[in-house]
Amino acid sequence: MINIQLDPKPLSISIRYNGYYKLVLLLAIIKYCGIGQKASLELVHIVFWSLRSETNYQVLDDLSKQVRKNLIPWTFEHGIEEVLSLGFVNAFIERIIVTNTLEIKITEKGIQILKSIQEFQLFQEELSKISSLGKIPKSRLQSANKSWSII
Amino acid sequence: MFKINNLKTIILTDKSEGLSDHYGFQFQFNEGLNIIAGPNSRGKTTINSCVFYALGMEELLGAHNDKALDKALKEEFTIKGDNEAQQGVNYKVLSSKIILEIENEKKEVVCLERFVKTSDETKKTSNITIYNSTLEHLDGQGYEGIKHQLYFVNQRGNNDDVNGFYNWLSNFMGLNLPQVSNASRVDNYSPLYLQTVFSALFIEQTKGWSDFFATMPFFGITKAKEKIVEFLLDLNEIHLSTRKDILNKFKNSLLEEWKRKIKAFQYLEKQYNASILFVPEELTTEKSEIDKISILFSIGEEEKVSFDYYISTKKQLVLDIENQPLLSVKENREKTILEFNKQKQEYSDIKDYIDRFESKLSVDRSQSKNLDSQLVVIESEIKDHLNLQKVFSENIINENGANHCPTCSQLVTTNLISTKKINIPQLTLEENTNFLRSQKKIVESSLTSLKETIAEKEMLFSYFKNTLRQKEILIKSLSKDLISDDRAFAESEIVKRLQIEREIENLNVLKESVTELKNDLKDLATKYHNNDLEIGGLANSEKKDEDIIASFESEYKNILFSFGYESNEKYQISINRKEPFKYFPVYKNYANDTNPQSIRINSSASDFVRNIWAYTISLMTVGANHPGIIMFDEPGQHRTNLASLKQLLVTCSKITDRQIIIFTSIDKKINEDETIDLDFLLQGLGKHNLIRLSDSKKVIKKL
Repeated sequence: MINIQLDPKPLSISIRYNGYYKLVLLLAIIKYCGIGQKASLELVHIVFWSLRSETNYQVLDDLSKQVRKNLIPWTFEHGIEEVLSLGFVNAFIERIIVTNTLEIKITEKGIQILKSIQEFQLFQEELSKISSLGKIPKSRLQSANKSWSII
Repeated sequence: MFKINNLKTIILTDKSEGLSDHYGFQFQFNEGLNIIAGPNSRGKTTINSCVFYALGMEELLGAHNDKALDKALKEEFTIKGDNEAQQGVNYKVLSSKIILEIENEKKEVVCLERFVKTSDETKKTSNITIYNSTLEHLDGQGYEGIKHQLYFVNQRGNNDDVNGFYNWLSNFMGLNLPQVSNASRVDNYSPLYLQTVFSALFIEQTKGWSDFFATMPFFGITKAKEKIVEFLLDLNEIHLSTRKDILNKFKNSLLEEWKRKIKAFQYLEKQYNASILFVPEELTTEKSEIDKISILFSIGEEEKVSFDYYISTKKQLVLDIENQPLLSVKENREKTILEFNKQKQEYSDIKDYIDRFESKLSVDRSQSKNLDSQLVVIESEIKDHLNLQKVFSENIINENGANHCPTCSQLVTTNLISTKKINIPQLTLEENTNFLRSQKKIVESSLTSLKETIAEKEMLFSYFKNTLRQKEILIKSLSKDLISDDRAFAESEIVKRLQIEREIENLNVLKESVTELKNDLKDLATKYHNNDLEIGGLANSEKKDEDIIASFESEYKNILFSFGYESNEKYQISINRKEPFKYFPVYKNYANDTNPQSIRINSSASDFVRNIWAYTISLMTVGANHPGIIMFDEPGQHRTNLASLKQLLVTCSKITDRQIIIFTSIDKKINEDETIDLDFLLQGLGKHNLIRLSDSKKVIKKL
């Protein structure tokens, strides 16, 4: 009898599916975009979304610089829950409750990680994009979310 | 050449009282044979890996930086009490470093210091500090006032940069690392990396005995193993082959240039609607072949005329028109109508063709745009891959670190694409980087050829459009003639004359371009010829190499058979001069056997181990560029017998001007009948330095 054996070949997968890559970006988002070294899940998702394409980035950058007041329909980032757990077990981030909502705070260890990444000048492009977005206040994000427009 | 004088490991622990309360070990090594013997798991491998690590050779153990080292040096270790029953005391490592004192032929002594674990951010495990001092002096007088210099290990340029450690080490050994061809470098050359050379010196206990130079890291060097042998034995071939490589590359570039020129002919053909004959597709050094190239024009379905004839008919046409009295429209009417219809037909044909041509061109353009954006994506992916690899290699984040939930100890995944039910096998970061790099190469090469075609097509396109314009002008003047007053002069004749004159000008340009191209081809042919001559000339300087290889061969065979090699007869074994297995031992059934076979397949497992012993030793004794040190970890592999092991020690003990370090277990079974008996091995052995590890305690103790 013929015995068929399937031999799975490893695939090339984009780095965007690597937990550690996203963890580094997550730390940068909390540090640069969150106020008081902490960020809501909503903020984390929307910044990740903005990094997906130049158009997305432009929209969020405009919102951050107060050029526009609304948002286009945006989506949640895939795999954030895994990235968060990875951050928690490594103690780079921690959970805190701020006025009844869960927020993610970066720990001293996490800040150190970012610092050494900056020292080696790694992920320059992404980090400079994130840091140039700057801090986005929660209220601005919330009001922008109430009025989506198509473009 | 260099030798190791001292090895010291210094560990600061959580139980250290003050900063100078150290744990670790220190051993002294001599010239000639050094034997480190002890029962299993007493720390032989720890000592061994410390030597690798201090010399920046941990890649040969299959890891970067401190990952190559035992956890006793970076996490925790236990020191047992004197009493067997007593529980050991656990120590946590706070910081640790390794100091290796080495000495070169000029009697210069330096200490290499490399950290294994550090609490101080300025001290990186990827750096090695060189102190111009002996270990004794450092221990006694301390580090103050001693000249020192920092070198990096794991970064680009570690072999050729002035601050690269291997560059320093090869200078210290008095070796000049040659440039060899390297497929993974942009400029195609790299130094023969020192790490690859050391795979011929340091035989590691597991992988090291599986093949010659088995632990050699991959750096993309072409035929790396051959290059190592060529370098160690100081054969001319290594310089010759680099030169050969350069010449061959030049040869290929000439061939490509030729093809491009040939293409230019086709392109001229299209542009001028001519046929160019006798174009040699393959490169030829016959000048007469190139002179044969000639231009023809078709004037009818079958009929073709030469360039000179064609241009002269055109010139005649101009003369004819000039000599004719200017006709009035009426006299010319019949002719004009015919001409008008003919031109109109031609016009619409060309227009059709151009439309189709343009749509094809725009397809090419959009494809090129697509590829451009793909390239950007690939490049940024590669960059991020390299960044992430650096994050791991610099230990910013520990890749294999705490990925378990502290509460329920479940694994936290780092792979965002697989789920519990579906596991997608993925390439590792390094594999994927290489994969992406090859993707990039493919995209780049298709982009270059696509851009070339687009440029060509654009030229043709503008030529077509120009032709169309000319036709338009002619048709316009023809139609004007048809509607204007019968008595007026026919304008179309004048336009036609002007156009023919322009055509003649163009033809002259064509002739010039063809002559120019012919000259270019002749140039290429001359260069090709000279290059070929030089390649032929290289073959002559190989006699000296043969002498070296012959003496290497006899040394190797003598040593091999003294070890009790019995898989084959002596006459059947030789060092192969040609591919395959160039410079490596082969088995030949009879003297002129044209199909030499690998010695590995034709030897028993234990005989192959004897082979590695003999090969490594004879490389050292014969090799003019050999660093003068070899290290064997557990040579008693694969059921070699005790007599062979003893003979190995005897052979090594006779070599007094180099350094040999052998790590061996004792009281371990070497085969079914024998155990490694140290007393037997040392009995009657010549000069040697024995380091006997404790039977009960591990190597790390209070210093």
